[in-house]
Amino acid sequence: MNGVQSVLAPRGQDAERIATLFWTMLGGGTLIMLAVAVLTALALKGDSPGRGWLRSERLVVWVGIVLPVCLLTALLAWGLFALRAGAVHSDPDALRVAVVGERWWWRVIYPGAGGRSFESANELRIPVGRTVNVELRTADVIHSFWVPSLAGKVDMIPGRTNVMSLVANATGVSRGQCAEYCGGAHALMSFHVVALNATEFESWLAHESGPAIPPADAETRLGQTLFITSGCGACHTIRGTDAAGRIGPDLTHVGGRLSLAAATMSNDAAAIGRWIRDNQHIKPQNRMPPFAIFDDRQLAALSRYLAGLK
Amino acid sequence: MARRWWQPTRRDAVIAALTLCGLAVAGFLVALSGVYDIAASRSHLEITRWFLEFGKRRAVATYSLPVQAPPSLDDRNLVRLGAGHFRDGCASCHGAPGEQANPIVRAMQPAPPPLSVRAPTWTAEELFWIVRNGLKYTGMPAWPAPRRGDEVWAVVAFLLQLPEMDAARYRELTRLPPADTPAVAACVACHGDSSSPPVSRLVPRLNGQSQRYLELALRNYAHGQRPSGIMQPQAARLNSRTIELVARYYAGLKPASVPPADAEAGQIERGRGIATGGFEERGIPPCLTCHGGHALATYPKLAGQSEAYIAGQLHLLQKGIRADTPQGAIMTPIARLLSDRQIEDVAAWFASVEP
Amino acid sequence: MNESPPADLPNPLPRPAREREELLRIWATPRGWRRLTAVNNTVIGIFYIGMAFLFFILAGLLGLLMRAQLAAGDSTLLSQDLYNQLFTVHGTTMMFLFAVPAMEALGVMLLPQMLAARDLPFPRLSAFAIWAYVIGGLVFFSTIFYDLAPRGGWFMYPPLTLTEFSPGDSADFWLLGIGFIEISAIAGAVEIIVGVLRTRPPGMSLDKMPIFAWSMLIFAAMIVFAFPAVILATMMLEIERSFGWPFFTAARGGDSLLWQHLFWFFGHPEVYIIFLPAAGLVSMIVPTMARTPLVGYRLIVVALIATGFFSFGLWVHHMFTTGIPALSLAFFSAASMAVAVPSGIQVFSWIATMAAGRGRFRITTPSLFVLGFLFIFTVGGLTGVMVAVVPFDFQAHDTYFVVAHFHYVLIGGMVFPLFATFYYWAPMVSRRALSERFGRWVFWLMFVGFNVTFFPMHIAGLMGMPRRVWTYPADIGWDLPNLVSTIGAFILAAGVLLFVIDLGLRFRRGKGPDNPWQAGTLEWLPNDVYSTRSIPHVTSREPLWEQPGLARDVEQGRYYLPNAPTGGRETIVTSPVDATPEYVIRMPGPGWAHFFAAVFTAACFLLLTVKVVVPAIACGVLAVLSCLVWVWQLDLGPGKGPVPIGAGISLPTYRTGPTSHSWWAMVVLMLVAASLYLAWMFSYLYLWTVSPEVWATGDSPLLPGVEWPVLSGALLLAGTGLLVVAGRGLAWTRPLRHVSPALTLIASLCLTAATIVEIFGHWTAGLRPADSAYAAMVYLGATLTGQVVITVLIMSLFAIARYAAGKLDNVRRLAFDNTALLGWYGAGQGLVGLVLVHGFPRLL
Repeated sequence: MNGVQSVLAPRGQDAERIATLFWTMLGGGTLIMLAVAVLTALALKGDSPGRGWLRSERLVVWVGIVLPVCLLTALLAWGLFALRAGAVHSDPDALRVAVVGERWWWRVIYPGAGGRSFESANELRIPVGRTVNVELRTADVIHSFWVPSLAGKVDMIPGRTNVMSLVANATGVSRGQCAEYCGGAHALMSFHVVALNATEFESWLAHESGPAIPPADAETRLGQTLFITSGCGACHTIRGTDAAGRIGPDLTHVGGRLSLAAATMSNDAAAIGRWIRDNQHIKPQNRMPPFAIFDDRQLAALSRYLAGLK
Repeated sequence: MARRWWQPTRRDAVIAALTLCGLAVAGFLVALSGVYDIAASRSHLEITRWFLEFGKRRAVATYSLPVQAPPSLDDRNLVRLGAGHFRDGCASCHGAPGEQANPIVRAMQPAPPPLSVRAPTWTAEELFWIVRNGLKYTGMPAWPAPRRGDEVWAVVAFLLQLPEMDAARYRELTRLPPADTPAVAACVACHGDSSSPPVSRLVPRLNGQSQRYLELALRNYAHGQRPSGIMQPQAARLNSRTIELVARYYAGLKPASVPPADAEAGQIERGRGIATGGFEERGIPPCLTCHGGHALATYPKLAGQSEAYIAGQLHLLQKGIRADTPQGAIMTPIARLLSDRQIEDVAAWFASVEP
Repeated sequence: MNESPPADLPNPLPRPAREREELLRIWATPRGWRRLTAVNNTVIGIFYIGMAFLFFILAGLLGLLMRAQLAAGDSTLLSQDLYNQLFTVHGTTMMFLFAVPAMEALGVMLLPQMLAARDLPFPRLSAFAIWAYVIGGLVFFSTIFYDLAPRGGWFMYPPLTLTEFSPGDSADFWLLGIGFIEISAIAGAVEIIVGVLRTRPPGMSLDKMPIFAWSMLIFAAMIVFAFPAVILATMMLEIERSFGWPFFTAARGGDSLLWQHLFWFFGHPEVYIIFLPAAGLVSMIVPTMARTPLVGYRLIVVALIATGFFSFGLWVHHMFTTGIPALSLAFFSAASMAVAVPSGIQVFSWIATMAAGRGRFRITTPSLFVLGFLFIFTVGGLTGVMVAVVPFDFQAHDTYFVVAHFHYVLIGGMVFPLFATFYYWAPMVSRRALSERFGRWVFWLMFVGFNVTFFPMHIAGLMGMPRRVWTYPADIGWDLPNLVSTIGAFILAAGVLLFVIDLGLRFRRGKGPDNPWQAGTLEWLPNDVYSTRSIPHVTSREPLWEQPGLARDVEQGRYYLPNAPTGGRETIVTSPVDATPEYVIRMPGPGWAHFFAAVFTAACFLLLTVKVVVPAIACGVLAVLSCLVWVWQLDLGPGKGPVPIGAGISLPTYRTGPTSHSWWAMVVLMLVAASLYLAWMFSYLYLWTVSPEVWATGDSPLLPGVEWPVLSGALLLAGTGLLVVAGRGLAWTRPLRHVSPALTLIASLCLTAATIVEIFGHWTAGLRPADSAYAAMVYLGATLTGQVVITVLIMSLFAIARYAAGKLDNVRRLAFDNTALLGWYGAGQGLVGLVLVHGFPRLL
């Protein structure tokens, strides 16, 4: 029942409200199920007290019509109340973040200082207790943004922008995943949401909006050169270098993220190396070409360079 | 009910089966006895020859049904490329205008036919099928790179011109230009050098490419990772020293562009947009990040290359034909993002810029 | 309620000799190769059910493969690409190739027996529907073996399924397969509606009809209204894939949500289309096992109708997470809950019937499956109410919770009743019943296996596992529920395997024991290939219980139509409400034409899919020709005159006009066309609300001048009027009568010209269909009317040919009447279209 991606281990306002709703419905549903089972057993048993009542249309009218109508009306009312409570908050203090679904990763756009936004990918960091309004868009097909332990899901639909509100109740890491089948590597399109306290969040935001750390030693300098000359920059941006591609994820602070490839693998130099060379086996059909052109020394340099971009 | 004129009974079936078995055994006995004469020095019986010819014609006609000819088989670039291959690969057996086939070859059974006479008896699609697949028991080999239909069509385009071709025209088409050193003569024959352009716009200009790229390409050809019925046999003849020599030779030549082709208005401009800025909507990266001046030496430079060559290679990449090399594996998914029109645009732009 | 039959029934004995031999000869099943031409419902019905069951097994095997892959996290048993094909084909096959056809098959198989009709009124139409389904289904399914299967999910949402994201032919194979099932389902629906309403035995008024017939009637009506939405959607998707008309592309004014609206407007009723007949079957089995009439018959009929009605108001609950406004959410949430009530009525009616029985409820294999159904379906219903609560759906939508929910509803609600049906009705068509001993094993394996498979999926879903994932991380706690599910799946499969073995061991075609369950309904009358020897007069809901001696009398030929007075296949047509005998319908027997029509239709679609155009067109033409040959053999005319059917009643053998079965079928077909057109009108207006900026307005140059719609409308009205005159003209004396066919042709040419004018008007205004969603909708509307009009043109040529051949006159005039009906419909549709397409933009 626990877990980083569980509806039943809520860490956000919405998810908590829905979990309560669920447990109540589960209890009610179990009672109804038991009642049906008992009635059926009585009906099958043959002679028993109350069988006369069981065999008439009165049973159908009272238990089959009146009772369900009452229960369902009550449930509908509760459901609509919860729906309203979960609607988008028009909180002036809210943080606005945009998330764009791409095949098969998440582009995250934060507002930066002076109205200049900056990008990250496959990881959303949010402050605890503050409303975060997430603008959901897609670059290609329909995706669905879902972090079960924070809130329900909302689809990302071509030509539209949907907005949802997240409020995290506690610090910690939640895992989210694309919930609308989007072809190919849909199963490997996940992400993390990290809830930080306000000060940690602000300092993280300040660092994240800055340029990448320049390479410090000969090996990472080689890595950077390889990154530029091999054409990585055609698709990826590393702020502070010539690499300014916008097709793939922004890698400015890739080393500081919890995972690689939309939460498909852990994040360290070795994993980066495997990803560069063998990504089509790790995440089939993903849109990055496999780069098997490097020898071991080059690959190590490139991976260490990227892993060092904290 | 009266018995119909022929109503098979169980006995009839047994007789038929036994007859068939008997024929099979008889055939085997003939072969076992070794009386059938397979000498190439004597020709077949007329009826055997007729039957084999008939079977061949029917087989080629049937198997070439799904083949669809490209629209422009009279394109001179195609014909020139085909002529070069004909000179190196076909003429030694089939002869050529003004050249007799070698007597050794004429002693083959069946003898390779003179194509000026025989090619017109086939349709273009049939010729394509024969050149690509070869013919069993005739000595006619299949195309070494079966997926390179584009190269086969070049040969077919040449064969279609062959009947009207006199010796002078043939010599002009297949003339070997003088080379700086004999080691590169075979290369210069098609790819040209500092004084002559490639013989066809389908053939890349190699002047000024990096030595590492050229070596890599030759090795890929030699090992069959980059399929080509024309380049694989050429590259296979080179050893690592000659590969280095050839690559160093071309890398040392001053880059030169091909003569411009006429491009549609706006085409070059659109191509420039893609080459320099990519096409983000479809996830197409800018070409120049890798094919400009600042990229790895193992990536080819495309400026000044002819549009026909670039477009042709992009189509090959789209089909996955070049995916067996690490470089091709990178380029294959990118090529697949391009529409046919974008390919033409981008190729036109590269052809228009000075290297 | 129990009116007595006419006084002179049963007929006196003895019957003339050789009557039964005559019936056997007329209804004999063709042998050898000619078996393909068979049309009798008992023969093709079994084939139909067999094919549907085969698809169940095949799709089930795909399910097992998927379970094997998901048994553990990070498994690489199957590749991503294969898995994506597997779940697409699994879902599509189960929904389109198993569930709906299985239910139609049961209708074809059981309805004539329950209604004591000799066959359904259009035997060749049933056979055509079956062949189209078999060929289309097999081709579609086989794509999985060639790596050609679609990868878009059974719901095929664009833009993922547009050419840009799904290049190649695989998505087209889905559209092909579904196109086939659409044709087949609609043909079946026409058959079932007319069959239920017009071929009941005398005396069986609507309130005495078996519940299964009620449920099939509602099932068929739902197909008529629901399938056109998906037909339109698949047309649009194929057109956008092939020609780039931007129905679903946001950049040119289309909207991917349009597909979802249309698909679920079909897709949600589809679930009830599957469930209602199954509920009907349960309502037949429970009274038999309880040996008492159903408690709450009327309530159940009301519940069935209410379910059918409500089910059209729920589709948006598949779209709660798309960001639609809260008001819509509230409405559709309420409707989704409301549909639970009719199901509750049925559940408690069954429980009441079990309790009401004389003595204890008999626990047989069918009863076990019914009880299993009750349990599973109730659980599924309860989780259904949960996901109807919008906030909870935000979490549960597209997770394994929903996978669990709908397998509870569909397997519980449909597969368990189906197995109950197999065990219950097998003795009707097999010389031996299926084994009760095996049956109990089958039930317990399936019941336990089912729950072990699907219950843990609720938990996996709540733990955050989305649907349609080919793999999942091993370290986030989904391993255990998935492993349990996989084990359960194999237990379930073992149950099905045991059933197949039982079937192989015991099922033999032939006449089984008479009424082994002592049931009360007519399908348990003694029967043979010709159905019952004579057609009974019914005075109650359970005639075999209430009318003693009925079985014997029927078998001795002492009721209606104990012989074949016209010398061919025939049955009695009765009035739709009271079932008073009206006429004797002469039905076609075995034939090749409908078979070739199905084969060539299949070939045409298939060749189009792989883009071999010329042979495809040739096959299309051959298909139309086959259809024409087929119908040429129908409309036999009144030549045989009135015939006695027993009890001193004499009935005509020919009818035209609103009492003829042909008129009814045409009207149902027009309803289908109208639903299709309504779906188009909805789409037109919907896309306008999404993208008003691409729409033409009154002063837009893209809107043709008012002279165009006026001309087109005038042509439509002219065609309508000419058809009226032509109809009257058939009564005129020769040579004046010859004007009538000429007028028919001119009328259909007017209609064709009207459509051409409409298209040409837009074209000259500079509008091109690929320009915008507006343009695409405009041309699609004209195309829809165009296809009706072309059909009218072909039909009028056919009518003229029949006139020339002397097969059409003022009495024998079905060919003309049907042409006129469709012509008037087409003109009406065209006029409505003109008002919308030319009027609406002028209001803007």
